[in-house]
Amino acid sequence: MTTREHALLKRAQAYDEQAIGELYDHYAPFIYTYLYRRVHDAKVAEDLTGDVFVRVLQAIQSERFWQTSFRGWLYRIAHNRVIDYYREQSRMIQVPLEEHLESDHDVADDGNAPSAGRQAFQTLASALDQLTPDQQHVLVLRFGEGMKVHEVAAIMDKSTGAIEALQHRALATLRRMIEQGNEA
Amino acid sequence: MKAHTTESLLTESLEKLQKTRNVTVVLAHYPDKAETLHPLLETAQQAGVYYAAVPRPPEGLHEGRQRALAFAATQRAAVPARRAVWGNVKFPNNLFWKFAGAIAVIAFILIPLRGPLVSAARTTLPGNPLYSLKLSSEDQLFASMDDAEAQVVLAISLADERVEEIRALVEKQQAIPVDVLYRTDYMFRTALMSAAWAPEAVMSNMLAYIIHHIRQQVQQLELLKVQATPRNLPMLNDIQTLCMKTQIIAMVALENPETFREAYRAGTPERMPLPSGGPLSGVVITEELRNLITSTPDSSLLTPATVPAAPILTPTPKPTATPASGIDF
Repeated sequence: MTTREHALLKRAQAYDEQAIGELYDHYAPFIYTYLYRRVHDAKVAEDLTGDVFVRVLQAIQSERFWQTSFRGWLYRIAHNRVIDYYREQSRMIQVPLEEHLESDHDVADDGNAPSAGRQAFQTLASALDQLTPDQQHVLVLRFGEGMKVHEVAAIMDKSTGAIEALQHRALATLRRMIEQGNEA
Repeated sequence: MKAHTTESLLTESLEKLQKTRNVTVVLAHYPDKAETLHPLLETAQQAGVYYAAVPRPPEGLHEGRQRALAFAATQRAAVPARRAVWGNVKFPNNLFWKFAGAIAVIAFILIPLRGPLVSAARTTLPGNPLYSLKLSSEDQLFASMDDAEAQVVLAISLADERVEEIRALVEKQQAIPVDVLYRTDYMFRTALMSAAWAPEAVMSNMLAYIIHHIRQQVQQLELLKVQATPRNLPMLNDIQTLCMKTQIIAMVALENPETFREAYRAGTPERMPLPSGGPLSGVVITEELRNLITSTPDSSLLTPATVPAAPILTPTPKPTATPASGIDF
């Protein structure tokens, strides 16, 4: 954590508007991206981003939680919010593929689409949704946010060995589900 | 020399893949494990491509920014002084005076028990060797009182103590042991049973007291979830569900006092066997029900209209379910 960030957080503890605004402007896009990868809906991700920052402000008085890594703490709160969101929904949201592809961006046209095309993309999306929340969390942090294993371990409060095992199981399960989806 | 498990080899090869972006090049480093690693690396690549497809965030994520700043403004405007625990509880006037006497009785009984060891034990957390002494002194308190109203107040205040312990454990990032859940469950059951033995004229007030007080606990647990480590979240959810289930029972009891009295005077209901997937899952806390529980004004607690309708709840699997209320006492 930089000295400047620490100073901002100390001011944010006193609910300083400018400091909170600066922290929000810096971190909100990252948190939004993370949340979108978990909930697949731009509007929901935007709402949850606001929730995450309100939760941050609710708990910011307790320095213990952000002193080591504010970024890590943010992702942890975001993950908890995602779990709450799905609990509120009482089901894992399955966004229809067409809506997913055509709402905010058309993956097939933006050059980032997998070469196997929409069918493969749909299979992958469906398979990812069937993973456990922890497995999804690991995959998003590792392959979406590009974090190292030890960073993911700190956020998830697990050992690096546990994260490696979780990652292995997640990829193996995902692979198996993709293959089953392709066969079907 | 570090032993390479498949998991650690996968991590190592994924780091290489991030640099080279070429599965074939990476696999050349692990000829013996290529067959195992190949599908996993390919899948990781696919996941990376999938996650890269994220729409641009709405301009400035303006709404969330406004909400965060509005929340900060309310906090700046709020009185910063931390209020006492009991100061947070706004009793309806009639209930406050109804139970003030019971609280005074408990305080009177607590005074002679304040030996140095018991005093030390009172602040301990689960896992501390003195913790069992703390629980024993609580049990002694129960044994020493035969007044139903005092027992309800004591049981609920000890459930409060469990929430305080949970708060301390969460702040220290220590795991919440399952015993805390069981003990809280025991307190709630005791409170309900004591209410069932109370004179008819005061039973409603005691149930309302239970409902009111547990709502505070649910809100406190909700706030704690913000700070909780992932390891503690399932337990927090279970304890919160337990609180809500107790609230529901008390709310339904207000509507069906006879059924409630009969069920709870019959003896100690069975103890909850598991923290997750056990009888707790018999009642599903829907969002609608959660809102009802947390937003019902105290003034309306005694009116039957606030009792949740049976269809909100999923059928409880126990054979002793009461058809009239749709909930198993």
